[in-house]
Amino acid sequence: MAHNRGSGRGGRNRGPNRGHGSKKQQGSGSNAAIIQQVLPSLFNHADGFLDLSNLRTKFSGSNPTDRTFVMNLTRAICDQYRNVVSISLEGNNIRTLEPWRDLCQLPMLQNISLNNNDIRSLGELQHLSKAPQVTNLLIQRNPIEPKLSLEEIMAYVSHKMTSVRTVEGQPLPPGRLNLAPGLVHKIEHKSTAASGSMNRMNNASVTAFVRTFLTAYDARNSTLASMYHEFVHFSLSTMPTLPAPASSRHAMKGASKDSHASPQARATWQAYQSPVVNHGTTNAAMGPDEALRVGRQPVLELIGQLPRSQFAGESLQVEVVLRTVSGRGPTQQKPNLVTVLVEGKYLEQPKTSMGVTRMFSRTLVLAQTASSGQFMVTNDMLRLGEYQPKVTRELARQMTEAKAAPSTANPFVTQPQPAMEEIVRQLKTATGMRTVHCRELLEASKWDVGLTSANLEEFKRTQGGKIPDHMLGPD
Amino acid sequence: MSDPVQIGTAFVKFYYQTFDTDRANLASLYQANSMLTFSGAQAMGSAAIMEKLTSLSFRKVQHDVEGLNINIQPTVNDSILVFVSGQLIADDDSDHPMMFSQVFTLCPSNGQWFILNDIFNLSFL
Repeated sequence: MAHNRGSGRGGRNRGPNRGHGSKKQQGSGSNAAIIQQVLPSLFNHADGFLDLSNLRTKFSGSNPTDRTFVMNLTRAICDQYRNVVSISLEGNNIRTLEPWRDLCQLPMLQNISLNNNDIRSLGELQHLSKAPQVTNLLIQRNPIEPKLSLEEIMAYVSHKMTSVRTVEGQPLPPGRLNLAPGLVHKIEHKSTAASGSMNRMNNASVTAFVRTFLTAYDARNSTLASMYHEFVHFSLSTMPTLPAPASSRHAMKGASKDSHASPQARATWQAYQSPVVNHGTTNAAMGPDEALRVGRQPVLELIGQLPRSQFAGESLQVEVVLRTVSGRGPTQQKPNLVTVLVEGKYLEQPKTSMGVTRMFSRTLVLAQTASSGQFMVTNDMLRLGEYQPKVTRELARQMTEAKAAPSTANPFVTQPQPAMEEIVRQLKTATGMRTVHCRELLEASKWDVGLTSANLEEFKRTQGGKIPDHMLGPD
Repeated sequence: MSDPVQIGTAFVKFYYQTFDTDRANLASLYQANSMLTFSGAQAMGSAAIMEKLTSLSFRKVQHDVEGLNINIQPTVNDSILVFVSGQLIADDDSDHPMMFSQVFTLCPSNGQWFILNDIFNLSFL
């Protein structure tokens, strides 16, 4: 049956089992309440399948690579869904399985699909090595390095996850597989010396630095001063906002640079401007919506005049490109460089009653001039905008995925599930309710027909003895 | 170095016009040590990057070049940092323009500029 997806947006009327009105959830995805609300709809009671694929679409505003979110999610799963048999983690940009390792506590977990993620090293499977019962593993369409044959993958998996019996749908050969020590080394210890290589450990330390930097920025304290390079460039501007999505063509054509900011954005920007704040440069390309400062002191001065903010929140999206120097390590002349793009929501004037949530995009270049040295910010471009949830998540997802779209069904089951469709049909015939409400009712009671019946009776009582008209219908 | 703002602005216009008309022509802008992060997926080297850019599920993309918001700063090693945000329309779906952010680090090599780092994100939070 088509699995119930996309119920992360809390705006739908959930029918008889939700007494209170529905609100659109705008909190960060690590919010335990959102997890509680969405999780039931992802679990198929009949076959024990938990659909955690494409989590971005299911949990509004969440980032499935965010460690806090994942830990909250796995904790909830281990508490309440101990009879999970299959899990799909497809399409989540997962690079490391470390935050997911609590899934090993699920005693009945047999099937895991990690297809269509961003796993670079098979060594990540070590985080799942404690899973006692996993017999089937899928790990296709991941950029795993180095390239391994299926035999090599099977050999490694059979040693790290001893319960596994099939990999990529292929059964493991009987008997103990030969795992060469050279192979283990190849899998678990990639070379990191080459210039431009992606060092996973440093990736994490960069993200940690970015958080520390944003926290210092929010506090406007002396730590911030020590993080900015002496010759730092800082610029501040406002983002263009989407025009109304009417079919008016002139919204796209002829939108000149001056007119891109909405009246609201301009008004807010005006509030930042004072004779001192504006225009640290005579560069003609900088329009009236931007300000540039060069040098640590002028930059700190400008920042000191901006409204208080809270950037270091939970739902940050951090993209990092790392450039490491080979040979004798980074120096002043040849530093390690990192380019970072951070995007997300931030809170402006958090301690006042006028605090408002806005979008931001921030580009940073960090330089490290000694192996043990701290990163220094050499470039900081901050762009502020408004909260614009107008783009559909689905379109954005389609845009960025390559042509082979991931499967969203349970990858371990090939037959459809006629029994459930039949139950839905029967309920529909019995009550006259629309299909969507029949399904909601059944899912809410985990397909327990007796409980469904009781819930329906209870609901009818609260509605004056019958099902409301808007819930009835032929579809 | 001649004005980084001019270089960066000219580059951006060229990049998006090429992207919108003939994406494969972008190959000459990337070199062996170029890196691309496209909505979280990473690729290194001109071949891998072009493979990523030409395998998107949308056939046609149109960036709103006139309405782009561009910030440019000089950065370490005589490079230029370019930060772009704006809108694009995919597959002529003009009722649903999408916001995007893109960061380029441009490096000089033999009198030409090439893209060392490229980060692209669709903004839909």
